[in-house]
Amino acid sequence: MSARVRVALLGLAACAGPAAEPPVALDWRGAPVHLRHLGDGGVEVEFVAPTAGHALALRDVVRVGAQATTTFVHTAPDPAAFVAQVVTPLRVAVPADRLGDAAVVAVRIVEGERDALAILAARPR
Amino acid sequence: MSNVVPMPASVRLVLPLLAFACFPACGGGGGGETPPPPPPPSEQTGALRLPAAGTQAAAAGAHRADLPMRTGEVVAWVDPGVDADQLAGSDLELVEAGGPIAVFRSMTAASRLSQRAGAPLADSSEQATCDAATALAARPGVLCAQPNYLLQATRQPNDTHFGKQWHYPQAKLPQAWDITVGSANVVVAVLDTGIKAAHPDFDPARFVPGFDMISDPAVAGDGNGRDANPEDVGDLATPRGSSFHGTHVAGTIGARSDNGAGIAGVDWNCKLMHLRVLGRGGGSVSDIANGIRFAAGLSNASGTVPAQRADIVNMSLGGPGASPVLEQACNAARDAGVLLVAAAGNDNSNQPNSPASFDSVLSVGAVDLLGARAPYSNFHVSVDLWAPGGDMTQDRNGDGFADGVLSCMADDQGATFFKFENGTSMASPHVAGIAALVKAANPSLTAAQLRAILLGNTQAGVGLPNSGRMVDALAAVQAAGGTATGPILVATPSTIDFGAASTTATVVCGNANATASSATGAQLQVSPAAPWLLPVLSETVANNGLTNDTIALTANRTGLAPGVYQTRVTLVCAGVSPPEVAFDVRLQVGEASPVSDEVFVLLVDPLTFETAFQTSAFAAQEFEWQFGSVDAGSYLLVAGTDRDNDGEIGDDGELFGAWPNLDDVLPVDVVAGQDVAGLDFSLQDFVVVGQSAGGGRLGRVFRRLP
Repeated sequence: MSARVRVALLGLAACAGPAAEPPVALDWRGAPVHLRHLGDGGVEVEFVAPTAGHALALRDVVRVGAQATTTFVHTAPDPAAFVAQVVTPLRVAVPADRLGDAAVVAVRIVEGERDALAILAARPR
Repeated sequence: MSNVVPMPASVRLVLPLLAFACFPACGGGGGGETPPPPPPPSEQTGALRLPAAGTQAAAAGAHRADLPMRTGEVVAWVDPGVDADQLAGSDLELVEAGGPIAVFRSMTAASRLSQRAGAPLADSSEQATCDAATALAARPGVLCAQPNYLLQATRQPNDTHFGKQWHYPQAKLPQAWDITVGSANVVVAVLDTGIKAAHPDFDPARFVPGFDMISDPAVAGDGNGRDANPEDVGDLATPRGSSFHGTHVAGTIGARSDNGAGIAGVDWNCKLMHLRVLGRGGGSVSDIANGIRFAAGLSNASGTVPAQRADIVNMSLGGPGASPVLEQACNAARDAGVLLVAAAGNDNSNQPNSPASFDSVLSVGAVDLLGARAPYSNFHVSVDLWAPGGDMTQDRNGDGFADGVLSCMADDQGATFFKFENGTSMASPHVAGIAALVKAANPSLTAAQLRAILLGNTQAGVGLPNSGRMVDALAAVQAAGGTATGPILVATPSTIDFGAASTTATVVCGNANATASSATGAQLQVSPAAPWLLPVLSETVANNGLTNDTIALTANRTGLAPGVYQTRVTLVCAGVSPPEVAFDVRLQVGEASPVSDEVFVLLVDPLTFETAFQTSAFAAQEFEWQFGSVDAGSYLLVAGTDRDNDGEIGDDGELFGAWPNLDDVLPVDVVAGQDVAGLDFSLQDFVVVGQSAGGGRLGRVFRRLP
């Protein structure tokens, strides 16, 4: 089995529902993160920050085989600052050309020293 | 400008629930969401209406087709000696007659579709009922005639979007408004990002001088440090723009209300004092502490104090940990007679958040539409009270909108509109506004008494932590000495959501005015008809009137197609004025309902294809928006989403539609003084494989305005 086929199968397994045991650990434990496929082949990642004052930035996109791993850096508000207590969705788009023909998109979130996998999703064919 | 056509018209787009098609499903085990797999592209049908209520009302005499009524029924006062039977005819059927009052049914009106079923106003059964009433009133022997309007159980403001403010009935505000809608002698200070004063749903006459307390020009973003102008110039909170958080919060407390447009505020008359303490990156202890002292009329860094100190201070802000300087400021304000209210925080944590956790501050947690703790709300033991803050991951009342709190909003380009938000930031101003109502009901109350009344007169939530209780505007206002003239019917909760699995629920109903006589002769009505719902009223003691009696609701999904079913149950009592109270019921069959996204509606120049006018709303089963004014002329009417935020609507993967359809687009002619109605068209979800994004729809790119 080639790496390309294997990774594609991982994506399908992850989408099969709660009963399927994901072969890759999604170890993100922070705010909700969503992935949205855009019509042009790009994706949009939504990080639902609990308050104002958060920031999310795309650090890099790394292609390995059929998987494109997108890594985002989340910055929390200055601990000394007081911020509005409104839930604030942060959305960052990843253009299609940066994902190429990857069959699977992974979303990693970096927070300080933490680096966790939040989403592993197959792209529409 | 003579060629400007005022269009205070509500434009209504009816859409089936929109699947959030683009979120892929991933199995459990991670912290990420687990949304459903993308469904196939779907087609949504829509209906746009541009009614002009004033014109319609004039055409039908004094009758209002936009008010709730028993469609088809006309009630008349008949001269003595006239037999009501003689007034019946080919169109009118006599339903009942007693003394001079006779009720007729118009066959024409009854045969038409109601607006609630999607009929345009001009062709609706409601309009036909008005016409029938006008015709009957002109008959000899009829003193007067009118549609058989349904009187409201509680004071319902006529603001266009009030129906989407589920959070007010939850806090029992409509019942409280029967007693008081607030007083101009009460001042509420809003410590926040400042105010977008030009928002049309604010009344500048209700503003008292505030202050921009941000000392760092880089944080303030207005070119200076502290100054007397609390206008919100933006905080650039996200890459997409500023939050205008203070405008949203202030709108909840005191937007213009019962003015026929926009939203309602909790308090309709109180004065608002805006104190700008949050800017780019948030706010500092010193700026907030000085803002608190200003509001309390105490010496502060601005060098000035208000002519009248605030009675109540709202702080929809917070930070972790202790802050002794901030606590001292709060203590001083409390000692000066100010009630301080603050958001408990959004960290889904049992950790304290300041300033909410200070003893001198009333801490407010957030509940969702069902009265349960919102998933983000902190639940530290210092939380004193719970109030509606919303949960925008849900649409539990099935109205097609995520369950957020609807209030005023603006953007960095100067546009003003309304937006749903969720957070303890939204819960806190509900309590601050209700505190202002309580103060209006009894101006002699001290801040400590205000606090005691709010905490001692509450309603049950759903499993709230620490035996928590939800704010109850009616009980609080009554406890303050406010009285209503008769029985007040209440039903709790105000919304029942069976979800996709539940089959039973209970509503507690009764007379909330203990000083009034009992409400008797209770009956239940379900409208629209809902064969899937069986409501049974159970009186704990027969014939003693409503006293904490229950309505048992049973839902039966057998034979129902997948989808969302909704109805409203109305409890009607004899001898009560107003005579009824209602609650909404929602049933899900099949998969969970989706989240909506924003649709931009454009009026486009047919020659240049430039967008002339724009409004927006969230795609849903039904929603409304308004054009403030539109120049007379000819336009193309297009609508779509901009999910990739490139400024162009209708890209691949986005909703798009045009009137009357995409294959044969026709211009809409807007003529001065003339209504435009019946504009129905469909939106489609475009996913085009192998075609580049952008453009292509009708051979043109349609750009939304910034």
